[in-house]
Amino acid sequence: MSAHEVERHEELLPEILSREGDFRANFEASPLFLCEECRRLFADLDGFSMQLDDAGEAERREVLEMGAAPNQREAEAIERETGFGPERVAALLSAKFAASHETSTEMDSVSDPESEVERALGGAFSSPARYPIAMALAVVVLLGIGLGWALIAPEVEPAPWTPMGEETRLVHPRDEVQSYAPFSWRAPRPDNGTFRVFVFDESTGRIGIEPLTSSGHLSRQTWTPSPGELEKLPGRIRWELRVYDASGALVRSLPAWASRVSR
Amino acid sequence: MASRAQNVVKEGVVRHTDLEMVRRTVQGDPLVLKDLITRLQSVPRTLAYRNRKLGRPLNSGELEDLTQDVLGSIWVKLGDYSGRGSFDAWVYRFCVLALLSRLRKLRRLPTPFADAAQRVRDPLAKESEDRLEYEHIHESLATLDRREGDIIRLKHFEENTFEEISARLGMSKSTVKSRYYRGLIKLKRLLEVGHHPSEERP
Repeated sequence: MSAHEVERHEELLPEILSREGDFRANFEASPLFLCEECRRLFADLDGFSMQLDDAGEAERREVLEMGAAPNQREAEAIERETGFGPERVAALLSAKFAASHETSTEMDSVSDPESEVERALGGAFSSPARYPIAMALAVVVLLGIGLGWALIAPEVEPAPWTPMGEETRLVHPRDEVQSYAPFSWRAPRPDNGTFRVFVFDESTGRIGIEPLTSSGHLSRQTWTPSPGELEKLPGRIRWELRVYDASGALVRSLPAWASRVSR
Repeated sequence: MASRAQNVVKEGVVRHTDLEMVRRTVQGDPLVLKDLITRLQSVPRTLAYRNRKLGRPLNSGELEDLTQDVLGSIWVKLGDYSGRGSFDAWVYRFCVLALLSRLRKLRRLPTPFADAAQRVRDPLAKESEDRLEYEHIHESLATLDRREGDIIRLKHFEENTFEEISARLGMSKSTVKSRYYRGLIKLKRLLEVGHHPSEERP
């Protein structure tokens, strides 16, 4: 048997290439071993599988390493390089949680992030009313988290992060609009600080991480993309206002969603 | 070998807890939020680590923007986490792919990435330090048929046996094996030709 009998051989190959038990001996003992094409396929895919095993092992090692608490020197380096220390991560996520679940009354007057995030997740959020007692504990827990981080990571210099919301308002575009332009907002600007706007695609149901377009650093509270950029924006967008202090550090961000409709 | 077996059992427990933690957070349960925050502390660390490993193609301001984007996107995409693998690995891959995507957008992919295809073609690559980086694999896996990608991921990155994969995905063992085989061939081809997915990832 030297010719590669596609149907018959490729029915047997998956069993061998599952690499279970003494698969190499099994292969040599099988009729496939007499087929030149199968020997080539076996060698190729066996080698490739080993590369995948190596890659998997390397990834698992790094995942474990990244999940472990960093020493002080490493923690400082991470914060220096990314601007994010433990408190800032905690503050950002706590704020997103609060915004998503209406624990902050200030947010109500600004936007309706829960319904927006719920749409983004395809309705995966359930009503907060399902957790009436838990929701009452939310504020306590969120405060506890902040305090907890302060206690367990005292050596890390606090990041210059300010809770967002009460004074910041994204004005336009929001909900359904005929034109996305101009992007406008009301927000306090830190001394010598700047604003930037980032626009993301929300039209496909997938959450884009790469902005479609973004503004430069602005001191005014409005921004209009070029006509070409505007034309290319999809039917639904998420835009984010980011506020930077004088040193260029990000101190605040707030998202809003909008759909373009023709009337 | 014993420690690997213990890990599998341990991971089995962790996976269940991970999915619970994510679901409860998504549903608005604040009691698990602290756990989630603790787990997501790995995000800046991973991005800083991978950026360093690639020769710091992003400066600190750009890395800060990316960290903010990644944390925000992970938050919005929590509902996509299926619990099939560990949450830490899911977050890690998210970071790795987000960094690659950003570098590709900025046209700053380091040269070694261009050599990925050569590594797959070179059977000795696995023997050397110049091994295949998993970034390439995950990017290409994302372009395969979803089931085929899941099976390869579960087999090589989560250390599942075909028996376990079969139970997890609700497919017969022989179907899992034949899809694994098909997926393996497709993945190898994709990596050989140096396939680079478009900018839609992650």
